[in-house]
Amino acid sequence: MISTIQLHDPTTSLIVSILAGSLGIDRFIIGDTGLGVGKLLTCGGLGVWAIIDWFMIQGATKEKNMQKLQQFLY
Amino acid sequence: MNSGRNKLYLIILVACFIGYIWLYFNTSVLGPKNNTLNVCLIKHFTNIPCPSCGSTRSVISLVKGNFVQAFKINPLGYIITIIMFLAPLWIIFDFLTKRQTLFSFYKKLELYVQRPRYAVPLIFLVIFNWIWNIAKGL
Repeated sequence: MISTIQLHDPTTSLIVSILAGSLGIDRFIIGDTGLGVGKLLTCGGLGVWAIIDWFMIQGATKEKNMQKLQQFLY
Repeated sequence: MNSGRNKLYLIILVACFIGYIWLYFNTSVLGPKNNTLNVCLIKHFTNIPCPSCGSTRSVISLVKGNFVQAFKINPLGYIITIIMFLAPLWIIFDFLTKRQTLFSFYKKLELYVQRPRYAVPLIFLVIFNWIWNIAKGL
């Protein structure tokens, strides 16, 4: 079962974040749909959130991966 | 579970607060001088408007009661206005009644939107809006 989990590569989400962070696509990809919509509606949080996410997105991706794994560990 | 709720509510409240300040700044400081502050990264670098460019103008004209003009500038302004108006009230309601109705609604909505049946039409709507924005030259 554990092999069926779809994990995401932090480097991929970083590249997506740099290229299309203002549209929130990086957040959509890792499964944070709500925050992705928030970024999309606000032009990437007035451009500031988009830049902050360049540094945050790798950690967020790892956290999401961990959450998916934890469903199987407990 | 509770920390996830509080984190989401904090994010929403901070975002709404910045939104109110942004609106005030645009109407009171920039508005009278007819200046605009271009913060959109996409428009800054490529000169092409992004899907949500013009939503500040849309929200401002909505607040003034110009519903048709707001729709013509950017229909996304309607969604932003509803969220900015409703979300803080909903959070206050949740805190007073010690429940998490907004958090569970958010989680449910997230799961729904991720389904291709809803995701694909929504993506097309956003792309259509983007094309319209470019055609309007916002």
